[in-house]
Amino acid sequence: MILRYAILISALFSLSLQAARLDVSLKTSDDSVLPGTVVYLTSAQPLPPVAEGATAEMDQVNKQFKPHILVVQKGTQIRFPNSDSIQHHVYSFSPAKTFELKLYKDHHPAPLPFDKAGQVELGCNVHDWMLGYIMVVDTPYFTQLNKQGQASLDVPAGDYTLHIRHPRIQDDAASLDQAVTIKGNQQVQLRLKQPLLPGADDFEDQDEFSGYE
Amino acid sequence: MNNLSKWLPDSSLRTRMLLVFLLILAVIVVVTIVTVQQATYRHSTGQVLAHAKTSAMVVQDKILNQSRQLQAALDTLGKDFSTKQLIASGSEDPASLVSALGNHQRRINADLSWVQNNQQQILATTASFITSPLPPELASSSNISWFRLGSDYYLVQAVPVRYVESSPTINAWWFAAINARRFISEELVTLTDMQISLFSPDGQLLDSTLDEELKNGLSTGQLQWDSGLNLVNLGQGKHLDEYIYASFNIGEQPLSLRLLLASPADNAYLSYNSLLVQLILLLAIAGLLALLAAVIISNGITRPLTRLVQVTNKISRGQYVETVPESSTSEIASLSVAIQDMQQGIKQRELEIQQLAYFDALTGLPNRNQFIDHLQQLIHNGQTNAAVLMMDLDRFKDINDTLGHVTGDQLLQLIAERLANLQLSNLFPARLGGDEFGLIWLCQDSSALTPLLEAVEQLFEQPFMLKTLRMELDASIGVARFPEDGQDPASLLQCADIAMYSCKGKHQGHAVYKAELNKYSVQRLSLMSELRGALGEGQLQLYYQPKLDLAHNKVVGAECLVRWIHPIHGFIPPDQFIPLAEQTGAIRELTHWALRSALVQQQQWQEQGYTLNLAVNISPLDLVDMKLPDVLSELADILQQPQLNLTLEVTESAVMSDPSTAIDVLEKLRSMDLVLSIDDFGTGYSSMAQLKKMPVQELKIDKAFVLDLASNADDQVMVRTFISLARHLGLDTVAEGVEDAKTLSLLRQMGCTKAQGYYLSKPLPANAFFQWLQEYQHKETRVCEDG
Repeated sequence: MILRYAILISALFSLSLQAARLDVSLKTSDDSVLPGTVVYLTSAQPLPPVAEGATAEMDQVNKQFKPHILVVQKGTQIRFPNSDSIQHHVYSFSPAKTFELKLYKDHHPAPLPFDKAGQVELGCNVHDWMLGYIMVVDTPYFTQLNKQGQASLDVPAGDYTLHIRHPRIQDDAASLDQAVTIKGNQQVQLRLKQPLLPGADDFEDQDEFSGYE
Repeated sequence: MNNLSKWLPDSSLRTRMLLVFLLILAVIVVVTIVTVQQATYRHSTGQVLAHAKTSAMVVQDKILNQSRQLQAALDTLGKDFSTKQLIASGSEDPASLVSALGNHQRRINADLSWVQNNQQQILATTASFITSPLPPELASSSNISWFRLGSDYYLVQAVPVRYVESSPTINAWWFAAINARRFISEELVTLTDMQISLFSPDGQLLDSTLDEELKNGLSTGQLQWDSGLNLVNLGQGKHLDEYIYASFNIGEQPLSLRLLLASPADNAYLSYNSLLVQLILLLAIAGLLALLAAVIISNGITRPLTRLVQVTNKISRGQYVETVPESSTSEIASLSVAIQDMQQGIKQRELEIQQLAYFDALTGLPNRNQFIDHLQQLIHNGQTNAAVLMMDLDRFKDINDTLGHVTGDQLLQLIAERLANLQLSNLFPARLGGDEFGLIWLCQDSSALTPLLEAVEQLFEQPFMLKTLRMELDASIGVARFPEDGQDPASLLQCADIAMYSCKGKHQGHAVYKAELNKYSVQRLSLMSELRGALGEGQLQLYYQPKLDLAHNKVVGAECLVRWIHPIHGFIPPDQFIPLAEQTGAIRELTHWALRSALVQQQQWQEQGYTLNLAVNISPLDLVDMKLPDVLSELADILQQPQLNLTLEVTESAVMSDPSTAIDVLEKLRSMDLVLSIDDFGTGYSSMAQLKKMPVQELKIDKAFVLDLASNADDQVMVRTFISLARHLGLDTVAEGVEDAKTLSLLRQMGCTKAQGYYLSKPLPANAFFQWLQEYQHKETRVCEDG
């Protein structure tokens, strides 16, 4: 914890002089919004690593993954609690993280480290409809679009690469990446060219993303 | 029909009916078979095709079902966590994945299986020849998807594998394939009742339910892939190896296999063939029944016909039948009635013919035939005594000639009536012909003929009344007796005839046959044949009777009269042989002979210093014969006498029979400057009107008026009238039959031109006449000198 705060303080310090803000909005090809879309910035400059002992949580609530999409910085430990009274069998065959957890009620297994950037698709072997994603990004500058399809990132001014990711986006990931130089208040507006992959409505009705915890 | 009958072996009604029945039946059979064959063939073909289509649907359905089963099995397996795990670790541990694939392949009864990742790379496969990925979209469709894998065709199914089921991302494709050959099973044959074969798109046989031998036929045979039914021989050309087949495509994408459904042609058309057999059998039975019907019907017609033929044959032989066979067939029945009527008609006509043959139509009396038959019958039946009587009417010919045949016939009817009513028993009267009647009288004693003769003579005692005409008739009657005069009808009739003719000349009422009469009649018969010979042999002579010119008391001519001195019979009087000559036609030659003899004699006397006009009698036959003028001019040429000094004497009746022809001939003769004289004037029924027309110069008064002239005042009136009539008509008169001097002087006083008679001279032979002439001339000269 001490380490974490130290980093945070040093970051605030180092950026305080050059603090800048990036507003991102995304429209789908049919001009609707895609809340929960992961937006993050990478840079050629070394960025601050994840805080030591940083954790996040992917809960099972009412036979759904909660949140639907969880974004974490590489190296974050993620806990898989089970808020349901029934058993789940959460697994992932994604290359970023392959695992398998049998989650019994009131059983709290140890959090799993996610040390590899990439998209981890989560399923439940006993509930085929359950689908969740953990986006492991190698940057501390990430956020998710709100219900209006907008998000803001406060980052130190500088040159970055903007990444937009969502499992339903079919557009080539590279085509959505763009270099941005952030100085002061910067705005980026994006529009998808490809239609979205189908997704369960349930996912869209998720509670508002609480963002990074 | 004539043409037809030429080809028929037998022209009987039955045969024809049978043939017509058979012909009609054959036409019906052929038309029915052809029609039914075509209709049934169409129907059968349609059914076979429909069956093939249904079978193809069954096969396709079965393959589709297997395809879906495979898909369902794959689907379940693809959701298996351990499978996902194996696939997810496939690139690191392919051996485990392959072994798992093999295991699952067995479970789902597939032949091949492999996994492709979402980059279309093959992660693992149970068959080494699966090297290139397949488009999973085609294989995952719910249709039948065939792929060529290695050297074979496979039904391929694929399911997407998602590591997380709800993920929109497909992580891998799991393929499983079943070899197309495996769909060809005996089960399909059971289901469809057809032989199923599967071919590659380019027509290579994949598999077939057919026997190996026939399979070879399939792979080598020329198959048609159109949508219809086709026929192929799969064997060595044997009939049993003929198959009918239809082809269908199975599967659409990416390629389709060809399904061929075949059935042995015999089986396919089994119903059609058996139907045909039944039909032919049915028609054969119908044919037999029709034949039977034809036989029965034709028998029904021909049998009564045959019986009728027998009956008509009997009738034609003259045997009448009581009953003519009847028939229920109306045509035959009416024929039967017609034959009955015909028999009745024949009977009736036979009666009429008999009437005509045995009865005289005019008088209703039996005729000569029946008379002879009856006589024959009597003799045959042992009649001991009978008299046969013949009679003929005197001068009946004259009555016919002058009063006409109608009157003559009426007269005959009256006589027949009296004959039929004769009050004498056992009498059989008949008309023998013309004016000849006959009677047969059955008597006890043939010598006592008086009652018969009296009865017959009584017939003519009363005059016959014809309308206003009252006629006295006489008949000549001859009688012959059985058995004395003849033993048979012919000789009896001949005897009666002879007896009858013997009366003619003698003005007797009747005569009974005597043997002497027969001699005369035999002579008569022989005269007929001898007359012609007599002419050539000089048995005939001309006698001359002088004609005296009363005014100058000079013999100016003579009448030539024919005399026959028969070498056996002696002198035959002219009134016996002249009628004979007229009957036989010899009269012409006789006339010619007389003319020639007279002319020759005349010429001779002329040379001796005596010019005499000679008169020759001309027969009525000569007058109707137009040759007479020619004969005379011919004689004139021969004798070199341009002018014939001849008188031709003709009787009134000769002219009367055919006046127009007679007058024509007379006119011709008159133009030759011949003197024409009417002989026997006053005895006939001369018409004054005719007399006026006749080109004659002379009337010869019949001796009946002259013989008693001196003593009979009536005759004197008659003769005076005749002479006066003749003078007024410009005619000369000749009186014949002058037998005394008083008559001669009376005639001279009355103004008669010439006289002829025994007082002057009887007819004399030429020499005697010449002598008489010389003497008479000498005497007259002397008287004149004296006077």
